[in-house]
Amino acid sequence: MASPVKVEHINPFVNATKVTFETMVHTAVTPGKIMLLSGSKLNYDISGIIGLSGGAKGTVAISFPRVTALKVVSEFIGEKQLALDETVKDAVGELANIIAGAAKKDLTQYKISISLPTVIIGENHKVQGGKEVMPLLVPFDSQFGSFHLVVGFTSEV
Amino acid sequence: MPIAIRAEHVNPFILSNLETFSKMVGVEARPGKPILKHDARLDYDISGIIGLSGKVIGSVSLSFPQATALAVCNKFMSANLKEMNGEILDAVGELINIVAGNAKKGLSEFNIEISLPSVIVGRNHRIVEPKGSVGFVIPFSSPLGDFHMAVSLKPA
Repeated sequence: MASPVKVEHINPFVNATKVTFETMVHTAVTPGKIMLLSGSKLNYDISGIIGLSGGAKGTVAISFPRVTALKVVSEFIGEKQLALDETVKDAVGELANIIAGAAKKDLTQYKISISLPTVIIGENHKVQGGKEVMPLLVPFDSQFGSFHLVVGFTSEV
Repeated sequence: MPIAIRAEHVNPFILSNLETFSKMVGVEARPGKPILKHDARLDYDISGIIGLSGKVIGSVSLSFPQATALAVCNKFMSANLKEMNGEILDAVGELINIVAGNAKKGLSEFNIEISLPSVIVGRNHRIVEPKGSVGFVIPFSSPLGDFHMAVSLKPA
């Protein structure tokens, strides 16, 4: 049975999300209670996913309902967005990229490299992890709505 | 010298997928003509995605319609599951893990390391290629149904 992601491995991603939203999206975000991803019944409209490899392995996904994604990206790029088009998809991928890049700086002992972000579009999709580790879900609240961060991470590679 | 991504760099992923289906699932899959990803408008029910990094960065995914995913995973696990449950998700994650792990051996000049897999479930979801990457979708047919593999690569 896989064990959950360790607290010391999740915190860099939580902090990276807070800092990224403060500096790039100009908004404060508040993390809620961290929970196991499995068993949670959460559906999203757009997700940015990025892989981590090197001396550790992981995956990070940031997932939004449609309306929240539009508001977040509008603020992020300084231009009002009305549809989940190319601009919004690229911006969500870029947010995942920035968060993973920022978290990496607090995990230097693992010499992590990050992959290309992939963006998923689809009404009510769900994100799950693999078998190696149980991913954790961090809910965030913001003035633009709630969104979720999902982190799978293991230093046993 | 900067690395240029060429169509032939997709071949190790195709070969790895064929071998994985042949050895692990026990069916022969047949690749169709690769399509440039930005031309592809494809909807899926379940996808396994894995990130790649090294001298190139990228991602590789396997995407299935529900019926194909059930048939492939049941054969892979010697099971007889009727619906998309946690075991099917795990199996899709495991398949993409094997495919990516074997493909990187065919791309040793890029020193690729693979990430943990993520699995996406949702009716008619789409996978968008990352900005600035070269992306291909390779359609596969098999006795268990058709599915797609998508590969995106970019110099690191």
